[in-house]
Amino acid sequence: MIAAPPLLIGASLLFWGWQSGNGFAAAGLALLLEVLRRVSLRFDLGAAEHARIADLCTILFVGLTAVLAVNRGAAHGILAAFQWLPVALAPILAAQLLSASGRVPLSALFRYLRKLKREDPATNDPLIDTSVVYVAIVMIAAGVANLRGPGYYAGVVFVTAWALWASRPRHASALAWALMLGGGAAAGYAGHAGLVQIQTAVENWVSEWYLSGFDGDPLRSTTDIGSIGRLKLLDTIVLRVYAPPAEGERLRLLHRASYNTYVGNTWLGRAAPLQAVVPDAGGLNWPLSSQPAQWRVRIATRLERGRILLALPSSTTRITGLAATAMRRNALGAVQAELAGDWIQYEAEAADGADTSAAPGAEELAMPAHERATFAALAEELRLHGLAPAEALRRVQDHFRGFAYSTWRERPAADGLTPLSEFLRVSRAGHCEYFAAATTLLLRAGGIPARYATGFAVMEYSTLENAWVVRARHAHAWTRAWDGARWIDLDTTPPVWFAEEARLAPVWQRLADLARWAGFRWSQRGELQASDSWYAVLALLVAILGWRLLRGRRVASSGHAPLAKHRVWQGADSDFYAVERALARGRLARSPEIALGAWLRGLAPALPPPTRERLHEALQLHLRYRFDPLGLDDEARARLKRMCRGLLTELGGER
Amino acid sequence: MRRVLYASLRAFSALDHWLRERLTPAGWLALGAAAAAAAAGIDLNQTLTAQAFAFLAALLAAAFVASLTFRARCAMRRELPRYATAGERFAYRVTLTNRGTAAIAGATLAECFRDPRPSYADWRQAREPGEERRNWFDRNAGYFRWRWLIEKRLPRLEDESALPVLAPGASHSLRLGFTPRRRGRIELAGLRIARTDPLGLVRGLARHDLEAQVVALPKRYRLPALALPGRRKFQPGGVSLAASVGDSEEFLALRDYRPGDPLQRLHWKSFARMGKPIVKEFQDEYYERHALALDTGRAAGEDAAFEDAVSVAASYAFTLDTQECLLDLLFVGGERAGDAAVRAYTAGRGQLRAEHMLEVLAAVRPSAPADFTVLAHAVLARRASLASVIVVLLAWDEPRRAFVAAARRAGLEVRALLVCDPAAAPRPPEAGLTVLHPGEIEPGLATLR
Repeated sequence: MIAAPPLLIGASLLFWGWQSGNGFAAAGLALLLEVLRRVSLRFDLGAAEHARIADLCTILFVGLTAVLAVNRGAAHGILAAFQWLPVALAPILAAQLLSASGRVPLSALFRYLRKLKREDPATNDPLIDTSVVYVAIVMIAAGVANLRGPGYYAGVVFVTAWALWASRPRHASALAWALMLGGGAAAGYAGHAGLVQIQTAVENWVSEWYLSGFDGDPLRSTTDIGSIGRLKLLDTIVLRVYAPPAEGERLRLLHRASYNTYVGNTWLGRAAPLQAVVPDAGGLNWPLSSQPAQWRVRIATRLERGRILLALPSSTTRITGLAATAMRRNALGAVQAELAGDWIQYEAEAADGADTSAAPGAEELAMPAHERATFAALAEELRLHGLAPAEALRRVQDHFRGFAYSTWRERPAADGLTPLSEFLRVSRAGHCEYFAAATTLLLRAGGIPARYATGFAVMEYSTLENAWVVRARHAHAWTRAWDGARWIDLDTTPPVWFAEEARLAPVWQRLADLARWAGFRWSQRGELQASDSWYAVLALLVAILGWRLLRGRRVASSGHAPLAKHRVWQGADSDFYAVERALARGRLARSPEIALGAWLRGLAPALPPPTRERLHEALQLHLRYRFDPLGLDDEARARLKRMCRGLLTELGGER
Repeated sequence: MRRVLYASLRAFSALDHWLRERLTPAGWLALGAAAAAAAAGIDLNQTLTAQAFAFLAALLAAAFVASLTFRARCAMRRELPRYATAGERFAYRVTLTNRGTAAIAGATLAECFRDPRPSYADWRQAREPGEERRNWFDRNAGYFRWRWLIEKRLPRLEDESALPVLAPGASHSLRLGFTPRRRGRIELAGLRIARTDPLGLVRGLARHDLEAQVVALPKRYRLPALALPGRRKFQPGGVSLAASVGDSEEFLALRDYRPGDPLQRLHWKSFARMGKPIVKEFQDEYYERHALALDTGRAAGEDAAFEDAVSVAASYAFTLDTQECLLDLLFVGGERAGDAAVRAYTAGRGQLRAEHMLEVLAAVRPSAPADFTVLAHAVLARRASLASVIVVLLAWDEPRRAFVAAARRAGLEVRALLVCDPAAAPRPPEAGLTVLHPGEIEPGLATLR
């Protein structure tokens, strides 16, 4: 195994320190290992000592993983442990650098090899240099730290180039080497971009079949507030709203559920138990309020696991045309239906000014303790107290106008800050959940009852489907504020969010939409109800089929005729065959594989000599007639005929 | 299912061979790091290692493409000894001449062996020594058996040998070597010149087909000075009969027929010429003649005990001075089970040489344990001409005990050696039986007198 060139171990460790934020540990380790490479102090370490050190490292790493998994959950814990791999494995490299041989026996790293060696001491156990392997592990651990930006890729290219340059083959020219490395770096970058596209495509593809959590929970909504990384944005269509483009403004926010209590990063619907909705006599119409309907809209929604929180305009008074087995609603305006199928359709009847949500209670003013100070201070700053609700809402909306939209979060909040307070005070950028949660809590801090509402933003009109389409990434959160008389939807998320998310959509989205539309139409096929025109088309098809079949037969019969003619061999009408049949009568019939001449020679002794001669002559003529490409002239043909007739008479007489 | 398993093992071996031929140590590291980075970077949002994967994969792909441009046209010649010895380094000289128009720089040379992957039938029928101790999965998956079968056929290889810069038309000789892992035939397929791409990750290959064979003789142990009983016995027909084949005998003279002479000895031409029966007379000869009987009955296959038994037999066959005596090597051989037949070979006095005996032993395979009786009968049938018997046994059971007793009763001096694990040694120790344990053969042999 090749050895790492001088200073590469230190450089890679410093890089790891930068990426993982463990600068001091990295610097210390880098210094230690580079110094160990230079000191002349050496110990006589045998295979057993190396094995013990490697085992110790394994125990260290497993212990660290267990502790982190317990504290941060299995997936995050294991990833965090991998980040610390350079520290956990450093003793193995240190032992190598300090050993007299400057190498580690391979069996030290693999218990299985040790077992094999115990069984058969002749087992090959080479001494290896672990330094470059260590550098590779350090670089992977740096990647696990997930510090976004071009730094990681540049670092990997740099460290790889360093290691490769040091072990560059002598026959290779520096130019060829540089060209290949540059080409590799460019291709790798493009490849990584492709991987991102592929992952998005795969997630989208999976979401066409199963959309985790789409059924929704009226009592709990776990947000991505504080989550690191990019928000997952799926293009799959989950809702179709059949309304003309002009009605877009009225339908901009389709409400699914509201929540009143914020705990950790989760919104809960407290003191709002679900109650059954009783349908009218037909079982298809579900009244939510007694107000008469002013307008209606038809909605098709995807269904997961037979249960769905219906997306409805907040002023819905009645749901019609929905064959649900059960429907429940709560005081926060959530309506949950139970029914079977992939896609369901229903009509929401609405009346402007109607709202099925209950008036606010104490929960709508409650503040979580760890957010109280931040929001109280901000409410103070904005002087929300004592303002008329309409003015307060305007001021809050104005305040968030200075914020940016982002689906991306690089690192956890700094110590002492909650993700929300960091959003308010430091980053001033986030996705809709940040805006909705912050607005809700800020209004409460200003004395205005508010709820956290979830649902969908209806903003994309599809001319293909003649309907508003709502994708999974259009799931939205906003605030519902109580102005003293009714609930008002307040959406403080910068309107650019929609355009920004649409920008990330894949290039093939239009094509995918076509397939989605076809799939949807297929799922909506009812029993065949053929109209007259359909019957006409069917009749036409049957006629075409019949014609094709009949014509096909005619073609086949007319085609076969010349083929059959073709098969009539030259000379097949020879009269000699009658002679052959006459001869065969009462004697041994000729098998097809025996030539006529040979067969006749066998029969000859039984025939009188003159007949035999004539038979021979006739056979010669027959063979000429049969196989000579020129055939027989008329005279010879007549002679063959005559001879055969004569022979037939003779043979007949013989009988 | 087993066919699928076999096909996947074959494909895996092919991939492994492909990678081993092409990847340099740096290439292996890049491949391993790329695999680890890919595993850690499955979720592109959680880690960045997918970037490292993409970069390393691109480098490997570029290196592979670059390696395809390597061309070398060379004439090559091996000077190959006929025999190697199991466990000992085998070296030979290779001369190559650059027949191309460009100089070859930075290349290495290595030997290629014939595809060692066993056939489906071999893989199904073979039993790896100690396979019965493996767990259910390993026994059924047959991976370890597969590996054992491949390792049996391939010697332990050495690093590729570096070539100096070869100008067009220039020749160079160098020594290549390998260490046979076990006795038997080693088939060489050709030589391979390799040169890495500019990044040093992937080797470009230029193959040169040059088939050859080497026989790896069994490993041999040092034997103490041997004192075989010096008892000469009548050998009808003289030395040439020692080969035990046909009726060719040492011709002495012709004489008149005497009643009782066998008919086979009539000299028919003289009979015709003289008009009276004339017979051929042969030289009577007296020699020492010893038998070396190797017990090949082993149900466990070619395990360490079997190999050591062959090595002990080889040590005797090689060490005994056959200048003045004859040595018959007898064992049960057969291509298939139930096809058992005694194979007999004679060395000494112009017959086979020691190397030939070792070559025979290099190809010995285990037989059914019950076939020992066939061997016992063959040895006892020769008792009239034998002075002593050296018998190398693999077990100590009733047929073997009876054989040793019968041979002693027939007046033969019997030197019985049993090669077995310490657990299988007879208790109490049997008089006149030397027990040797695998791994401790030489110390055991040193106690012989």
